[in-house]
Amino acid sequence: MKWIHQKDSLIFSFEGDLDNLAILNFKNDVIREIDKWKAPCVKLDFREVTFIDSTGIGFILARYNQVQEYGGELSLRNISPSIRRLFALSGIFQIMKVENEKERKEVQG
Amino acid sequence: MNRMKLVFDAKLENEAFARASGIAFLMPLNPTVDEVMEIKTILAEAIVNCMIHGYQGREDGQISVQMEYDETHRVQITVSDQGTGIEDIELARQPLYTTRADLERSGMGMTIMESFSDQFEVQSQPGQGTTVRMIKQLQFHE
Repeated sequence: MKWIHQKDSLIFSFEGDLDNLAILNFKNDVIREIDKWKAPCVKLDFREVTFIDSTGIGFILARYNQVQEYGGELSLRNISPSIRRLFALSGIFQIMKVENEKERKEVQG
Repeated sequence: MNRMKLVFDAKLENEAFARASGIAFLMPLNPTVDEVMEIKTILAEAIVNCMIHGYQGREDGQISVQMEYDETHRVQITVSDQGTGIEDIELARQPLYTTRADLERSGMGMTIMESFSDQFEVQSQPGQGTTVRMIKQLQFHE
């Protein structure tokens, strides 16, 4: 897990299998960085993620609430079709924005 | 018919081991990318439930994963613990219902197991443990 803070954004990039153990290992770092920067836009990037389950959904919903509490916005980036199918079961897309790299490049031109 | 059984301690690191082993067992069926993803997820959800709910994080309990398939590529997955059991199975199956919001659980585990399988059943006795059984029909490849 890597993160970068730039201007109004705090971006976390995850990689590999985001299973229960992996999430436990980085969860406190993510909570701490969000609290430290209180950035208006917090983005979670899943481009390099090979596996995720309901533990990941719980983690995302908890970070959504954490960011909402100080008035920020949480969005998701680079959701693969298989991750999309899993996340759709939880209704996550009704409350969070998703940004995909491909779409962004098209917008840029 | 081909069958396997894994029994392992309820240690967090064993979830990845069981997920990978379960998938490896099914490789002779040549599953699609989507089928692999669904079965990995089913296994992860079932095993994490044993660890977090069945054994409440205790690592001395044991989890059993049994898998079998037949010549029609019908796969059966059974995951069991001898932990605390479930008081109200219907409630536990509700999407977004969780007893462990403190651990940031989403309450989606059983919903995911049900969605990614063709048949899903739960047997549980408080104080005795829980067994989930799923059937999944894989596509047939020449």
